Amino acid sequence: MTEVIPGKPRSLFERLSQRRHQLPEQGEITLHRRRVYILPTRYGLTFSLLLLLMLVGSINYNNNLGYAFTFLFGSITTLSMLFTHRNIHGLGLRVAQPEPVFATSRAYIDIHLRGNGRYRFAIQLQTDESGHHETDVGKDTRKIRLDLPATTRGLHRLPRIKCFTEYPYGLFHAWSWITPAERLLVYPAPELTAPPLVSRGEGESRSSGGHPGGRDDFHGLRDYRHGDPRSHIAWKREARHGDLVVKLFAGQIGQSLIIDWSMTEGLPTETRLSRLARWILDAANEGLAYGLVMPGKTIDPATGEAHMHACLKALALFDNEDRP
Amino acid sequence: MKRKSPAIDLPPGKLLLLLAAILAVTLPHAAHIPVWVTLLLISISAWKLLISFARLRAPGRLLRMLIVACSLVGVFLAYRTLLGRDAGVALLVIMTGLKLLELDTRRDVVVLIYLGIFLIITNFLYSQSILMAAWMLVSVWLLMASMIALNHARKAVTLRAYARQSLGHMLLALPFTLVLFVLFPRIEGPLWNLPRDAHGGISGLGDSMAPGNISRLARSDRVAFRVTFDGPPPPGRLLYWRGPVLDRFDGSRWSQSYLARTGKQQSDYLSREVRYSMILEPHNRNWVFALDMPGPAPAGTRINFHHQLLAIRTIRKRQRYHLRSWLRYRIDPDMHDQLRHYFLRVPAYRNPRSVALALDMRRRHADDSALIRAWLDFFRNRNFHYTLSPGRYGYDAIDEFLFERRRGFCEHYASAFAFVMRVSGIPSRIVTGYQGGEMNRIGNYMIVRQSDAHAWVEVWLQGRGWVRVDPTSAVAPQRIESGLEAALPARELAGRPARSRSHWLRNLGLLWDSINNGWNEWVLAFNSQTQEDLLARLGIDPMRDAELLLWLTAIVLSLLGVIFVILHWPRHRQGCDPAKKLYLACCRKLARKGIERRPAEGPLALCERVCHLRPELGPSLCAFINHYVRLRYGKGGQDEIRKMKRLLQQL
Repeated sequence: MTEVIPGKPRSLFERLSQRRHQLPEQGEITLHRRRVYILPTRYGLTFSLLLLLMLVGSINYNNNLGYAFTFLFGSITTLSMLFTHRNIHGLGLRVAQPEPVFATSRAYIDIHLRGNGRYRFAIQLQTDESGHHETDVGKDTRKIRLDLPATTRGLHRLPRIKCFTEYPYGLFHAWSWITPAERLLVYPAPELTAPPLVSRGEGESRSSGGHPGGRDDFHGLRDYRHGDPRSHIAWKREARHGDLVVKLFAGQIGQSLIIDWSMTEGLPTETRLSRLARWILDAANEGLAYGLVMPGKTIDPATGEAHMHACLKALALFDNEDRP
Repeated sequence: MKRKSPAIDLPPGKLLLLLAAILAVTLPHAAHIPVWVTLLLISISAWKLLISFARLRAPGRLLRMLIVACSLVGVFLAYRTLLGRDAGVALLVIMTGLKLLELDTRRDVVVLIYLGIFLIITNFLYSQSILMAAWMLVSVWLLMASMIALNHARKAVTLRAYARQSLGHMLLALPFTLVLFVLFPRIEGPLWNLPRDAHGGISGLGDSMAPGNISRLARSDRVAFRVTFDGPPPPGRLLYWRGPVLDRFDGSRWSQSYLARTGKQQSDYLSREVRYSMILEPHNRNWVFALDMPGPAPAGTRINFHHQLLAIRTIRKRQRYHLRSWLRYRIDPDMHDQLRHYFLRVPAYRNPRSVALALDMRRRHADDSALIRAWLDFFRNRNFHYTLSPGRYGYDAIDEFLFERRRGFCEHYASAFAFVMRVSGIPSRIVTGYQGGEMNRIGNYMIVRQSDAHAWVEVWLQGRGWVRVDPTSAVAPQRIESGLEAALPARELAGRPARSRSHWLRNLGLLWDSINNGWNEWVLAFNSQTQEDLLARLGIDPMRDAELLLWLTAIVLSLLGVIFVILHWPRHRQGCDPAKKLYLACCRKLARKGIERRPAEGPLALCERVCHLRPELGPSLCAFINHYVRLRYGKGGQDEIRKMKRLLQQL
């Protein structure tokens, strides 16, 4: 599987600078001298052309104040390289462990910035997939939230994050790359049009499809969704009112539900995982105790948030243990 | 592919800062660009403010194009060209103004700021005074601050922070600027031909003299040149600064003949030389106003037939000359007859009454010296008036002057005197230049102004050569001894930019002039020559450019290194919070009293313990701690801190 967000470098220089920080880092990262890079911006290059023009003008008119002010601007420009570098040098960053998300939604990465004894203006963070965010970093830590699209399930590396600044004059671009060690867990996207989870209890779970057994209590009706078993359709109501509804049956309290990989036989793998995710969410929503049986992994029935996440994680990692 | 610059919406504060910067840069140009350009700029600024604050609709592309087209036509009509210095500056100002109307993207704002920076340099084409430099420094400050504001997306930070930062950056840049200014290899321009109007608006003495020329010049208080003497300055009555010599007379106007282009004749110097250095203001001619009589011509100058010192190149920027002159001299004691006759030529049938009188005087005084004395007595005794406004003279100007009006300025006297000398058979010519000068005791140099412009006569006497005769001295001896102001009634001086009457104002003026003189000498007159001299004194061989560049690089790099170290010096920010500082001071105080704060003891617990151990400290400490807690964990202002300081002292 590819990365969720491929860190696409912008230029040769940035590619070179990226190479040195391939290894993921954990905890607080301080942007020390050897990992901060600086180059003139487009505006910086234009400005140097302007300075050259001013110098030629001063020479041509033999204008001493022209010389003096050209040199003043030149000096400020040169110094602004130091100012820009200083603005980012020594900055502390900590990438928080991101919350797991479902595929096709957006993932959020919280980055905590620390000024380390200096007020820093206009620090910007961006990944190639997210827009850039700007903030000042004062005495307190400051949090920036980057959001990126989570496309495929699995345990993903976070994208390289670029931390940069062009303050104060926009003439120089000082940047550093951060490769966080934190991983982003992306669950399979729950299927939108999944058939309801019909089978409960260990007995029926094996025989996929099942039937509306008499032991089940009638729970209610809901609109027909594509894929609902025909035997659940309330035909009588259809005859009377013309709308298609299916009957729902609630399991008895305490009785556990097993969601089994084999219940989705015949579908492509990803669809199966999506359907299972939907069922897990549905079951958790309704407060049922449920277990998950996957090839090579079985989670005993339980309830609760942690259990749900464990089950979803099992789906996310199915057949896709990220390379270490 | 051009990347699209992100759209930007400048908040009002930043927009005002930017507008202030642009207006500051263009303000000095208002003096010479057409009035409508200034008005256009002001109305566009106001319009932009309305667009921004009153949410007025911004002008469309078509309207903007229309304004551009009209402005181009306007500039062309005003200057008859779109090129050159003046028209170029006017166009630049208009472009800057119009850019204000399309500040949609970040790039637009950057372009506007760059235009502003370029406009700074254009201002120096018109003036390089101290005031202009100071004003432009303010403009740089504003421009840099708006540049910072542009690169900071947050709206909350006050403009003060930007202003403080840009000021700090400028101060840090100053040493670099100085080093670059002194060490950057100077190339003497121009690199290519300058536009014709590059040096407009500077004038001084011309190459001819008609009645009224010099009196017009004398109304100006502008400085012509400044002189520093090696040793004591000569007395005022000997200070004749020799300018163009005029030897051709057409009845009313004296002008230069081809002789001015020929070489020097013989000269003997009879006294000790006077050495002095002169800083000459640009005047678009090549006259160098040396003291009568200039000795050997220094580098870059020559001496013509009339003993006038001339620069090889037109003086278009302030120049410094080291000169030598002799106050007593004998020039051209021998003259060829043909040449002698040349200096006797007068136009026929002009000024008949003067001719008659001159011939009559000649008959009565056979001796040349006696004749000259008689003519000077004539001016002295016949009720002649020395005045700045003699009125206009007609065709036979000299007749009119000698017999009817008898009112004139130095050019009238010189002209009439030289004329009657020629008629009497004594070769004569007019010398124009300056006479006198004001000593600046503060800077110990002499200022010679346009108002010191003067014209006098040289007559050629057998065996003595050319001798200076100043008929003005017969009419208004004060003019020669102590300057124009002494010679003219106060009424006539009223219109001039009076050199102040009161003593201290005059001193203030002299102080300002000596500052200006230093400015001219050290900043504006700095050129490749001065640079070489300075470097030679520092032991650097300026001839080897590589060495100079090496030095420049070394100094700039080491300065950068110093600043880098200063910028990255670890600063301990703890205790920056004033409340915490006071609290720590209080803890130290308590420690001296024997109560140490325990490692995990908070302020309230500490307070409780102290109250228990030393009840007498209780009340003020409790109040102190309360203030501290409020400041740290709640709200509190400067007031609270002041109270804490007072309580701390009581402890």
